[in-house]
Amino acid sequence: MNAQLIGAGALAAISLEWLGLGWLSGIRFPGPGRAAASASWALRLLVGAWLVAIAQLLLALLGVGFGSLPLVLGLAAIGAILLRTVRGPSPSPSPALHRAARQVPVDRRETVGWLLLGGVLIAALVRSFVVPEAGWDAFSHWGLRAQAFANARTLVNAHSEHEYYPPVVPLLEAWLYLHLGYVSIDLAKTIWAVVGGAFGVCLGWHARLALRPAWLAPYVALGIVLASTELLEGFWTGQADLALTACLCLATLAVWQWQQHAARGWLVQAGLFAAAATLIKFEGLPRIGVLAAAVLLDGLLSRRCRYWPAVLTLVVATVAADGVWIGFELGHGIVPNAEHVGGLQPLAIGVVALALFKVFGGVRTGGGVLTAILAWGVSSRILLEPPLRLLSLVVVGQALATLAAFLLSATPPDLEVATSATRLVGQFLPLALFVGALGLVGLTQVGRDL
Amino acid sequence: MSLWRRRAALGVVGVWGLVSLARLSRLVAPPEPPPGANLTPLLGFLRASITASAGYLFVEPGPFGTDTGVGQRLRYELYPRTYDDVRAAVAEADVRQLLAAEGLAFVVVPDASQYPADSWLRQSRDWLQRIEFDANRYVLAVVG
Repeated sequence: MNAQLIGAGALAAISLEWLGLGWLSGIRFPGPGRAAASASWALRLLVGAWLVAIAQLLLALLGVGFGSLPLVLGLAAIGAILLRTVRGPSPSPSPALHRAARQVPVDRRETVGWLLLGGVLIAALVRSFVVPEAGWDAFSHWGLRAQAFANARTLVNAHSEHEYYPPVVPLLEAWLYLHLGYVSIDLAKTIWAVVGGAFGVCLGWHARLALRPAWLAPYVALGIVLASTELLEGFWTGQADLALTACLCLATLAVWQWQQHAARGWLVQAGLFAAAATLIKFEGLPRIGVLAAAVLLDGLLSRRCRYWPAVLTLVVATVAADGVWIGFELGHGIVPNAEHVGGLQPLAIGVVALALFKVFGGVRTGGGVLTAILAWGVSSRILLEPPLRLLSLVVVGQALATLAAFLLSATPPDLEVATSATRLVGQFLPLALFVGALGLVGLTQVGRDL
Repeated sequence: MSLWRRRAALGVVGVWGLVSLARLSRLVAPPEPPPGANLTPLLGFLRASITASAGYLFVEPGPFGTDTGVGQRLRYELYPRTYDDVRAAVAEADVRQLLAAEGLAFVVVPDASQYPADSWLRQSRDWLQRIEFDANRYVLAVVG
C-alpha cells in the first residue's frame, strides 16, 4: 500500500508539471465558458506530457541527459512558450464557434454524462494502481527501456526487442521513475491511465463542438472509451497503443476542426499530436502519413486549396520529429530497420479475413468493431459528404493500411492478425466510432447541422 | 429520413449500449498474471549465477505463437545482462555458433521439461557446465 501511495504522489507531481506546461503553452479548447476551460485542462495535460518527452529527447541528443528535473522542465517551458507564440493571440478566432459554445450551456443531462464519464475514467485509474503489469511487450520492450533510461538518466541502447522503436513511452515512464526514486514497472503503467483519462475528456469536448444537442457529447465519449477494443485495457498496461491512439485521434480531430473553423490553434494541436504519434510507436509515422493523404484527397475532392496548411503542418511536424529520432539512432549505433515488413502476400487475403473474424468474434474484442460497422452502414450517405467525409476517409485509409500491414507481414499473416489485430484496429477504432456517432445523431434528427 | 432508418439508428445505439455494458466488466475482471509468473522464485538465483556484464540465451520451447512470456520476463528482470533468444528447432551447432558470435556466456533453462528429453539442453555436453537451482531449472555456462 505504501508503494501505491508513493506512486500516486509521484504521478500527481508529474501531472501537475504537465498541466503547468500545457497552461503555459496557451493551448485550449475554444469557447469562453467555464466548461470549455475545464475540458482544456485535459488537453493541457497531454500537451505538457509531450513537451516533457521532447525535452528529454533533445537533452539526450545533446549528450546532457535528463537527470536534472529543472533542466528538463525549463526546456519544456521554452517549448511551451514557443507553442504559445506560434498559436497566436486567440485560441479560436471563429465567432461562429464561440457563439455556438456560449449558446449551449451545460445542462443537468450533460452534467450527469460528464460525471459518468469521469467515474469510469477514475475507476480505470484506480485499477491501474491495483493490478500488476501483464503486458508482454511492456516487459520485453517498453518497460525494459524505461528501466534502462531511468538508470542511465539518458537514452541508452537497452538491447530491447525493438530498440529502433521511437522513445516517447519509455521516456515518460523514466520521468515517473526519476520522481519516484526507483524503478517499478507496476507503477509506470499508471501514467497511461492519466493520459487515457485526458484523452477521454478531449474526445468528449470534440464531440460537444460537433453535436447538437450538446448534452449527448459525454455519452458519446463514454461509449467510445468503453466500446473501443483494447482502449480501456490500455489504462492498466504499459504498452504504447493507448498513447498512439490518443495522439492519432486528436491530431485527426484537430485537422477536422481546423477544416471547419480555420483557427490556427487547431493546426498547432494537429502538428503537436502528429509529432508525438511519430515518436510513440513504429506505426505512428505511416498512420500520420495516411492522415495527411486523406486530408489531401479530401482537399482535391473539394477543389479547395486551404487544405494545404494542414497537410504541410502534418508533414513538417512528422518529418521534424522523426528526423530527431533518426539522428539519435544513427549517432548511437541503433540500426533503423523494418523487421516486420516482408513481401506482399495478396493471396493471403482469405486467411487474414478468417483470422480477423476469429479475433473479433467475441463481444469484448469485436463489439466495438460491430457497432462501428452498423453505425456506418445505417448512416452511410451522411459519411460521404462534408463535413464528415474527411474523418471517413481517414478511417477507411487506416483500415486499408492495417490490412496492407497484415499482407506485408514478415511472420505468417494469420499469426500476425492473431497477435496484433486488436491493438492495430484499436488505434483508429475510436475515430470510426466518433464518425458513427455523428452519423447516427444526424440520422435520428436529434442533431442539427451535419 | 425514412422511419426504418431512424429505427435502425436507434437499434445501433442499443447495440452500442450493450457492448459498452459488456466491456464495462473489464474494470472488475480478475487481473491477468504477469508473463513468466512462475519465474519469480528463480530470479535471485539467475541474477547471482550470471554476472551483470555477461550475456545469456533463452531457447523458446515452441514455434512463434506458442510462447508463454518467459523470455519477455527474463529479458526485463535480468537487465542489464545481454539477452538473446532462439527457437528450439535451431540446431545445436548453430546455437553454439550464435553464442560465440554474440559473446553470450550462459543459457538459461527455466523449465527443462518443456524441451524433448533428447534435447541438447537436457543432455550432458562437454562445452556446457550445468549450474542447478534444481534438477528441472538451471543455467548452462559455456566452458568450451
